[in-house]
Amino acid sequence: MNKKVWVGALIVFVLINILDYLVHGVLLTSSYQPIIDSGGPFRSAEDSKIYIFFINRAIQAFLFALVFSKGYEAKGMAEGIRYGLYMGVFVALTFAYGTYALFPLPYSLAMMWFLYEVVQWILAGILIAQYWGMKPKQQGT
Amino acid sequence: MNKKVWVGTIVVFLLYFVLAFVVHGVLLKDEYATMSNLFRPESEVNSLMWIFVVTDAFFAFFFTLIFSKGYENKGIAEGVRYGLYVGLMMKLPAIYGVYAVMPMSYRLTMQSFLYEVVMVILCGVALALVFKPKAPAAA
Repeated sequence: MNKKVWVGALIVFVLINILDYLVHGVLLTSSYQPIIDSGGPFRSAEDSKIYIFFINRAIQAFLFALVFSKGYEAKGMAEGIRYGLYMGVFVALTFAYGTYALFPLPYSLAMMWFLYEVVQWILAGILIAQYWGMKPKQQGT
Repeated sequence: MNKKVWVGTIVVFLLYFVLAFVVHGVLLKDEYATMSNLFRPESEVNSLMWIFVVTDAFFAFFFTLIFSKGYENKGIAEGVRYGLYVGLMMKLPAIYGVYAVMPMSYRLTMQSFLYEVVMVILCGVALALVFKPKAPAAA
């Protein structure tokens, strides 16, 4: 397996985790709080298993880079946006709307989960397309 | 867009829908019943069932479209590999992500995850069969 896949996976992993913090730790905090306060279906802070998210994201980042490497067409940023959109829809649909259909959560939260998740993967797609398009450094002169 | 993409989308949609019914409506039904306090009431879940139909349709289309872009005619193994990659990518956040923040039983989580990944692998196999070029007719 190509070294680029591992570096690409690492870049995506770092980006997605930063965006996760912004989305779930900052932007959506005010949406989570009323659900927690009303005894909604979330684990308590002591019982939460946040490490699972890091494992999930590591595997996703690797697969995202691997699948990109298989179909890379050197079409620049547009390719990254398209790829990120497809993968984002994949990931976000079942996660956001599937969870909403089963658990008593407000629709507004499911919609925001969906939209933010898709945007996160589009940004990851742009980044990985830029990285793949970079020319390797020349050795010597 | 290639006609095979549309045929593949319909095949994947129908296959996934049937498998989801077997897994969630039959095999895991008793597991869900033990955690009914966590879920929406059954009548409410049934009224939101259309969401699964819509999300399954989107899944079937994008799953087939991406497969068509990278198709290498490597037979069933290609479908298995593709199904495994996409299955992990989709089902990790949807199932283990939910387990991380909601008090689901680990047993139900693991069973859902394994069944769902197998379902997506079977959809990948179905696509490999749909996209397989027809053998030239014998003279």
